[in-house]
Amino acid sequence: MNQLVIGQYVPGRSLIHQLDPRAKLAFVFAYMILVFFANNIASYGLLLFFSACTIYLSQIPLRIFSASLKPILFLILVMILFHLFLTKGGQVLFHFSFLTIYEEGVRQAVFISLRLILLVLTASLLTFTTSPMDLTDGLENMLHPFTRFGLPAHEFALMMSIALRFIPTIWDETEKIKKAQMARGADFESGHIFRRVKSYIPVLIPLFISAFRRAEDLALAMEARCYRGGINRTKLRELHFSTKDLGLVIIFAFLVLGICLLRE
Amino acid sequence: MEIVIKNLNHIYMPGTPFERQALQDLNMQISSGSFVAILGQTGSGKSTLIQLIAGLMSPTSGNIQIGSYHLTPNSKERLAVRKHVGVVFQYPEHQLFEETVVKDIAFGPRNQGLSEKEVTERVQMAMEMVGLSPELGDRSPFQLSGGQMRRVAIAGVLALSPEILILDEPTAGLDPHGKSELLNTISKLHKERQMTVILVTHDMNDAARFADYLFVLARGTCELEGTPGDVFKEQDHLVQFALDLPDITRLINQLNRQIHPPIPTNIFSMNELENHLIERLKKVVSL
Amino acid sequence: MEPIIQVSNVWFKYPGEDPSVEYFVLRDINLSIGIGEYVAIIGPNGSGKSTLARMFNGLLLPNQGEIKIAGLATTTLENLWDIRKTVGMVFQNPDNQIVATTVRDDVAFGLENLGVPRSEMQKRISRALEAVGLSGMEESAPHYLSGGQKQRLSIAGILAMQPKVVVFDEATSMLDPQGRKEVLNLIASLHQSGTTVVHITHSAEEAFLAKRILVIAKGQIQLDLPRDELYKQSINLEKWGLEVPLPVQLHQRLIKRGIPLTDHVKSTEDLVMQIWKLLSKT
Repeated sequence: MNQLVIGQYVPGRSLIHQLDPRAKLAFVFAYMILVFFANNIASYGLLLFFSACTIYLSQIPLRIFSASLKPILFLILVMILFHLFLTKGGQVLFHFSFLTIYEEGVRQAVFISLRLILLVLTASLLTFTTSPMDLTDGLENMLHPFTRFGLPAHEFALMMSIALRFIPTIWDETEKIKKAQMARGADFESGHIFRRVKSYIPVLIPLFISAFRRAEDLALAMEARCYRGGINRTKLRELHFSTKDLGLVIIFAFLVLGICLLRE
Repeated sequence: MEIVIKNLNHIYMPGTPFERQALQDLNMQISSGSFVAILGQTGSGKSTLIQLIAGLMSPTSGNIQIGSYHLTPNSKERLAVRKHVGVVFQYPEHQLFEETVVKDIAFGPRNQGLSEKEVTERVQMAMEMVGLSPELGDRSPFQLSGGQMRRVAIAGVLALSPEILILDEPTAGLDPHGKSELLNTISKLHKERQMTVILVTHDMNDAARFADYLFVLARGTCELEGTPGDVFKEQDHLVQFALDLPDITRLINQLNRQIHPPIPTNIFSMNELENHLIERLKKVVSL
Repeated sequence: MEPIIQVSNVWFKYPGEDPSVEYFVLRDINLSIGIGEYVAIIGPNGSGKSTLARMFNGLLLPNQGEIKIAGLATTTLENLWDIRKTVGMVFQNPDNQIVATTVRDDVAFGLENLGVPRSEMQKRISRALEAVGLSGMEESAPHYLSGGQKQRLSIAGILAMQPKVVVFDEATSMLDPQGRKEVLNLIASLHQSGTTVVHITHSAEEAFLAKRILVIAKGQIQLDLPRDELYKQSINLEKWGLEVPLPVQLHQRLIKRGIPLTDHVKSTEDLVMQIWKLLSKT
């Protein structure tokens, strides 16, 4: 594969890598909710400072994080423009014919983009520092209590891990089929959007057919290896809750306290 | 159309930790109407090379001249080249997508903007070339046998009526019978229509039997080239590139350990070997 | 001794097909394979060889007749897990049989299914990876492995389950020569360590590496012979669309042209000697 996939695991041995995936999952979930409570410079500042610390601790190069922000740049831009021109309130900062920019508009534009950046950085931190297997195991483990209400936690986790396993394979295959159709004169680049979507049909159909074939093969191989669902299964990976993970609870408590004090 | 490749380099993902040089100062010349084979291990740069010749990627540096076209890093002629070069990729049946055999084969000619009449003619011609009976035309390609599906896919490329045909491991996964049928078809096309054929293969038997010139690629450059007789003489060299000898050459080598004077090693067909031995045996055995 | 695989009067057709005889993929197959044997099953595409292989561990069940693995019938549902534990299977496409995102987790998959305790699992995984030469690659993502390495990983996943039989269902047909060599070497060493090996292939060259060769075509076993016996008769392989070893082809051609050679050649060396003797008469 010739491209870095967004959300790819970056192996390492940092403190963040070593945390229990369940602790990380729970923390990230709670932290994302917390982000929505920040509403002024001080509270956003606290969260930005905290995220910067975690990024530093993860020992993952900054440019990998900035790469993860690239796909949402357009969204951020739209949000900024939206708030700049449409949110009213506070002092008028700029006025030119039909354009009026209010103080509140600038505030909102800054905060909304910060919020988006924080969310993406946090999610990226989780996927960069947690191997897919750990992630799915953590999820399965956390969802386990709900199995008694009929939630197929094991199947869900297995599905996720198989999907992660096959993403690069299918990505490569897409490239191959695209090239083959290009050699037969297919054009994926020109024309209006509708035509371009239509031009992908000769890629998508073979891709679906191959995905089904792979699924069939894989099911057979799994069955041959005695797979019969989650019952009586043991697990190679064991999850251990350590004192480091408890630390996350304390840090989170401080963050909540900080946000409560700082927000308006 | 002659192909002249000069100082060709191709680097994937330059400037990243994943940077990989696939081709390095490659020089090659493939004359018009010849049948050549490109040999080499996985990762030797074969598949990069054919994608560059087919105009599906731009090289990092260097030049590929195909007829009067020049493919260079910033060349705009890639699209034009694609009209003259047909590529059959590995497992080509995995690219079939249309409801019927005829529609699928017509995909290429349609993209070239030909009239309905011309498209129909091209489809008929291509089906005939690969030996698909016309009754199969309205069938779904997905209901055919593996060997037939591959023929449909190859017909889809031939319908573009390319002057240069590139085939990447066209016989992979076929049984011996299907294999020789397919290669005979291709050899016939080459002879009858003077099509330039570039066969990329791991199979030394196929290369020796069908190609008249061989290129051995290793680490992105051409390490060895010549007629099959010349190339397969370089046994020690080939071992270095983890390539085998054709079965028939191995048999001749085994015979030559006892027989003097040795049997020439530029024999690559059973008929030739048989006749050679008969000539010599005639002198000693009364037939 | 009781055979490890016993196939008696097996008929099979895929559901939905016409019930008349010609639609049966397998017709009245009888076969027994003993512990420790190295058997190749060779046949053209569509001959029914893969179908037969899939019956060896109950992935497919016969319409008629019976298959017993170590005395257990595949048709009895309760036996199925013991049978699949006994007969491991490596399939054709190296990509489509790896479940997990790391080498170690993939080898663990079968063991997890069997409920093997964790400490035992770790031992078995490192032994299996060592056996296939992938030690040190535990954390690698399958996507970055070569075709041959992927197939070896699949074999490790099977070996960790400690099967008595390993069936290779065209496991080399999608590999490059390098990968093919790796897998064939592994098959030979498995056989040496006492595992029963069944190798399904359409390559005569690969089949001749086994000790016993079954030729299957049109849903029936056409020949079932030790390797050396088959070599003599291998001109018949052509009838079934299979390749005939070159020395045998040459031998037949020379005889047809009236060269006084013996009716059968035992090996290439034998043929070479015979030709040499004739030529050195002068």
